[in-house]
This record gives sequence, C-alpha cells and structure tokens, in this order.
Amino acid sequence: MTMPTADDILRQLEPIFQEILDIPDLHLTRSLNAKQVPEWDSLNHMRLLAAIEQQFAVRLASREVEALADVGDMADLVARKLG
Amino acid sequence: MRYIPLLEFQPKLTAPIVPPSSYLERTNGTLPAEYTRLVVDDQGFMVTEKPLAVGDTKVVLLGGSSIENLYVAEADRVLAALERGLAIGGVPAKVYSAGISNAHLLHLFNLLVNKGLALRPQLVVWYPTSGADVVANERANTFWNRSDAMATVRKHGKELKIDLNCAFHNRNGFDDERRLLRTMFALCRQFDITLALATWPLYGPFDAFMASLDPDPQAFAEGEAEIERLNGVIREVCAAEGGVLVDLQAAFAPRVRADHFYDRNHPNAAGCRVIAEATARALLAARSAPR
Repeated sequence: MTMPTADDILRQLEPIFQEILDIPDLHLTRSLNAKQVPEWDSLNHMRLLAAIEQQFAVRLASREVEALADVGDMADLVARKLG
Repeated sequence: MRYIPLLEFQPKLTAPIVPPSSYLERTNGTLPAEYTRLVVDDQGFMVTEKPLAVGDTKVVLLGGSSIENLYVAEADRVLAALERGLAIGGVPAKVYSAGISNAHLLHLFNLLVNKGLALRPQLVVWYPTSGADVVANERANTFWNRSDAMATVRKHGKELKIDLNCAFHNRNGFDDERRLLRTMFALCRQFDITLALATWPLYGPFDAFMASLDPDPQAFAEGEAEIERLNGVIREVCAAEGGVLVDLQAAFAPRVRADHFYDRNHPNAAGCRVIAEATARALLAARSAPR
C-alpha cells in the first residue's frame, strides 16, 4: 500500500480548513500560515488540530505542534506520522 | 487605523469542540477527551440553550479561560451551573459568559462598556485572570504596555498573544488593577448593576504535576504569592465599594486541587461546580440582604 505524500495530505487538509475556518473557496498552499488568514485564530487552530487528528487517526504532540510554521509543515508532520 | 478589539468568540458560532492531544498532554487526566459544544450568541457571548424568559435576571460573567471552560461539557460549565444554581435559589436567570483566554482586566472593562452594558444586566461578576492580570502588574505601564501585546489598542489583524513568562516583584503593587476595579464599580453604579468580584484560588503545594509543567518551584511560589496579593486587593476594593465578594480562594481552600482543576488554572467539571455554587451563594445572599 502506498503511503500518502505530503501533497496528498495537503489536498485532504483543504476541505478541513474550508469547513472550520468557514471559507469555502480557501485554497491551501504549503506556505499559508495563520497570520495570512484572519479566521485562523487560536480557537480555530485548536479545532483544526482536533479535526486533523480525527481525520487521519494520528496524535500530534505539543512539541510537534509548537514547531509548525505553516500548512506545509502540518502536511509534512501528518505524512511522517502515516509513513 | 488602529483599533480596540473585543476579545470574544465569533458571534453566532455553534461548533463541536474536543481537546486535541497537544492540549490533553498538559493536563492531569481529569479533563475527558470528549466532544462538547460551543454555543455563541449574536453578540459573541457564550450561552446555554435556555432562552431568555420574561423576568429572568441577566447576569454577565467577565473573565479569562478559567470561566470560559471551552472543553468542559456544556452542562457542566460555570455559566450553565450558575444558571441552575440561581434558579434553585429562586432567581431565574440568563447567564452570558464573556470568559475568553488571555483577557485581562482592561480587556474585560472594554468588553463591559462596549457590549455588556447593552444587555442591560442586573448582575456582573468579574473573575481575575490569574495569568494576564498578574503579569500586567509586572509590566512597565501595566495594562498599557505596548511591547508585549498587553495594550488593548493594536493594529488590525494582530491577534493578542501575551507573553506570560516573567519574574515577580509586585512592580505596580496592583495599583492599576485597584483603580480599574474602582472605575468598574463606578460604571456599574451608573447603570444600576450589582458588581461582584471573585478572588482566585491558590494552587497549593508544588506537586509532581506542577513540576512536570514548570520545574522551577521558586517561580511557582512567587506566582502563588502574587495571586494572594491580587486577592487581597480584590477584597479591599470590594469592601470599600460595597460590592459582592465571591471568595473562590476560600471556597477551594479545603478542597484537593487536582480533583477540581485539570491544570494550574482551568477548572474541570467538579471545579466549575464549585465556582458556580460559590458565585450563586454570594449573589443570592446579596439579593436577600437588607439595603
């Protein structure tokens, strides 16, 4: 079975971000970060983390989460967890 | 243009909430990893599903994440338990919670002026935010310190993120806290609102859980001493102004801290119950006291 790549994960993250941030046409890029999206506040950040954990059946530790700078880092982290 | 943001949840937001693993790993295990729900009204107040009824006393809660109780089951949060407690005491009420992370006294004052008063509440209860309020006391120009995201005036889009790390010297003697609380009493008098002030419970002995979060017992002890000083100021202002005191320090003193809080400052369901009961008792006693 082929493990999903970070790009695969990025595509799967897009609808999660769209729903939680309530931006239906949001297009995720690797460099997108919270500073660029006003709706991505601390509450929605926690909601995103919980939704990602549920969607991909992974656990993200606090030291891993604190190191995330952008969506690309998030996709890489999930890909590593699934790899 | 700069502006003064109101710290609030997105109005009209209803969303399922569950704590992520990165949050749970910093708790003592008394917060269940269960879904609950966040219900926010059209003015950004956290509310229960109970509709406002004719004759309800309107109560506004001002505070930080300690009374926000985001990850606590809906029915167990302070606002829901307080609504029940007041009803049992013969005072049907609708409680509006403005509790939100990192809100210090000046944020909450702004919030009261700009949207709390619009509800025409009969009661307002302020709970200190032990992190932000104590840290403000150490900053140059306290709540107005501009280098630390402490000041309420900011550029558009810049989210509040107060650096809570500091050494404790009781730099301002909580003098600005004292002045703002007195001003809040004056404001409430103008609008026929009974204002209640809460103290905040001390953590108690430095235990293994606290050591896992912050291995410096000296810093922990100094932080505790500052909360005790802040509580003293709250009692002093409340007595001088004839306000209602909700003494949470006393309410939690005989209790095992770890049974009521899932980390240093955030109450679990049992802690929310104690906070709500102490608040309801104080408000009901004030209501029945002769004027």
